[in-house]
Amino acid sequence: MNRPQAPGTRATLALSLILLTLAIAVTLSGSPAIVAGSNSVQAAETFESTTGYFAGCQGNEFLPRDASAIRLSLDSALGPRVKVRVLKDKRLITSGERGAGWTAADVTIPLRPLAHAVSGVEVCFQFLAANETVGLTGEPVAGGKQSKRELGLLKVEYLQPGHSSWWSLASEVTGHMAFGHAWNGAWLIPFLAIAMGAVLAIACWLSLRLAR
Amino acid sequence: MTGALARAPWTLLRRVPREAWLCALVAFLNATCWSFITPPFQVPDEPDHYAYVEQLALTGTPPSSEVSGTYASDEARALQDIGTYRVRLQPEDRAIFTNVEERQIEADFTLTKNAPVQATGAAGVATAEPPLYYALELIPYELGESGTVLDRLELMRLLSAAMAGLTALFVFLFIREALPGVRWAWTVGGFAVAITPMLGFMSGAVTPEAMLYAVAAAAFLCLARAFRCGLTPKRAALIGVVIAVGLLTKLNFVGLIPGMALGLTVLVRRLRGPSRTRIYRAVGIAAAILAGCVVAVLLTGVVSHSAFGSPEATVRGITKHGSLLGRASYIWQFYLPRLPGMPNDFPGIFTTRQIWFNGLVGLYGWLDTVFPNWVYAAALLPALALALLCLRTLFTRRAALRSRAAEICTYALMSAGLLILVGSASYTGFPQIAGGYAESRYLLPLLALMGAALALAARGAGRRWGPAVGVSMLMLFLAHDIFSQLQVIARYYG
Repeated sequence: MNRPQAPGTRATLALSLILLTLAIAVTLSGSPAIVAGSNSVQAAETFESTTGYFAGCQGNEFLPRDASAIRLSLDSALGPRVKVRVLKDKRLITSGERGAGWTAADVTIPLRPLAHAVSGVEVCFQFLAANETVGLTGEPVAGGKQSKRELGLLKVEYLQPGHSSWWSLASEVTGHMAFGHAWNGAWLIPFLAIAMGAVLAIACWLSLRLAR
Repeated sequence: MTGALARAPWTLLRRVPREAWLCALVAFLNATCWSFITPPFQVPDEPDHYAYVEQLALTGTPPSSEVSGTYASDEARALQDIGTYRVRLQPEDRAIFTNVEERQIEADFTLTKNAPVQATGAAGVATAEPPLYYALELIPYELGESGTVLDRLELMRLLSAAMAGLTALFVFLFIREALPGVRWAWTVGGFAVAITPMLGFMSGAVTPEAMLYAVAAAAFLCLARAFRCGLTPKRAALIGVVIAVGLLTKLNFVGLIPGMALGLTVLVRRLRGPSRTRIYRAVGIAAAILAGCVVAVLLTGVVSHSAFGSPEATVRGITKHGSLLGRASYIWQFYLPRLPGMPNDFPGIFTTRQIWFNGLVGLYGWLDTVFPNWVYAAALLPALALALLCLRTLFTRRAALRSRAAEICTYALMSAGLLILVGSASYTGFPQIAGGYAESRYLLPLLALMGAALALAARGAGRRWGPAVGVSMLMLFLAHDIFSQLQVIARYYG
């Protein structure tokens, strides 16, 4: 008895490879986000660790034009939902929100970009860390712990889409990869290309074998 | 007779399908790539694991202090030079990438190459771990004697990468034993596991988890083989050896043991007549091997300060939070949506998706390297499709499931044991920290089951379209891996 020939495997493989190539090309055509501005506060220390509801505002900030995200130096193992509002003269000019579950020493919150820069804005953020500790990192203010009104200055950065695509940055990135490893050098990229090329070749061979 | 015995291993190896070897090769190559892409020490706890090996190499004894951040002088200098602490947990900070920084590292290495290195006796969280993996890592460590810390670390990472190859091989063979009906589906499951980015990321680093994944896959394979072909003295002894190796590799393996014990009990009860006596003898031998290993672990003192909490800490945890019910509720919510009547231990967080699913989709580095949010949402679609296909196969083959209920219960108990172990460890830090140990890497000892589920999903498309769906699955997992690598490259070198 002959096994029925499985249809479509070659076509699926060809289509998958085309889609994969396109996806990589489109991704690398994008631009990495760059820091458009910051409040120049250093992430020197965690000046406050908080649990429960927290709301705070930090004034005298500069919001660059086209800022598509704001990065706050909040530290958490399993961060709560964070809401950010940017106010000018008590009037809301943009806002954003990041869902719970983030981790690391800062959190990036997408913002609705503005076509123009605005100076002297107030950045307000709030979160409810019910069973979690969130650290606020930046520079403590002298006497801040006593006053409770101003604990410290939080490090804030504003991100916007970069102007260079990953394609144009490729040589720079591959150059960076040659440093800080064992056996540094330009051999690393060809090695990775050959190794992943071999993986791709094996994947294609195995795919074609599935049909038999 | 001697010749026959000598040929036996080669005969066994020859019986392994070519596809299985290729999956192993893929896993090794992939983990090797990850080992070069991920900057040194930018994998959770890697500095501590390196310190453990260095402590063994310098003194011949395991570390005794859990103090973190106190390393031998050469490692401390390397960590300083490559800016480990500056980069760690700070996604906006890149790895070193200027000539000046590179020359500084080289100058430091040259300056201190012949300086004596003093062991500190500390290896942070790794102190609690059993010594087998670290003892094996002594081989690449010594091979890199003439090189720098970074050279040694890379050689050690390559040994872990080889273990990824073993993991993929065992997973493929497990799928073949557990789902023998459809040959091409073995390849789908085996390849998907081999190219899983989290396996590549973790096995491209110095961590005992690389070996744990391989041993856990071997445990599933041994049990599947015994369920399919019956328990023999050799197989019983082999299971004992695997348990022993697992216990000497990483304490998380303990979570799999209740399920394995259930499996062995079922297998022994199935035997009749004189073979039963022989098996009892074999199980006795296996138990003796196991007991010897437990004693060895106890002698090294690792159990007394386990990373997952000492018995005292566990008791404190229970009393602190009132009841076993509280712990059970927490562990449930650690993985699954809260049930009515449970206190909300993870407010605002859908743990199943946000911790475990998103973690498997992509969370690299020191949990600081993530995809854009839309990727996790988009990943739900193929995941849902695969889940539905898998369920379809299970439904259409439900008669076969019933006849293999004991085997399925064994795997389920092994999984539950591991999940409860990790959840309990997380609970000891609660409520100060909710979601400690909430990292998807802790689920990878269950890769064998993931491979089987993916093989079932491919079969769910039916005999006619199954291979085409299988091809798309292979390509999907390959794409996932490639984009994960690109994301890590962008984060550290972009």
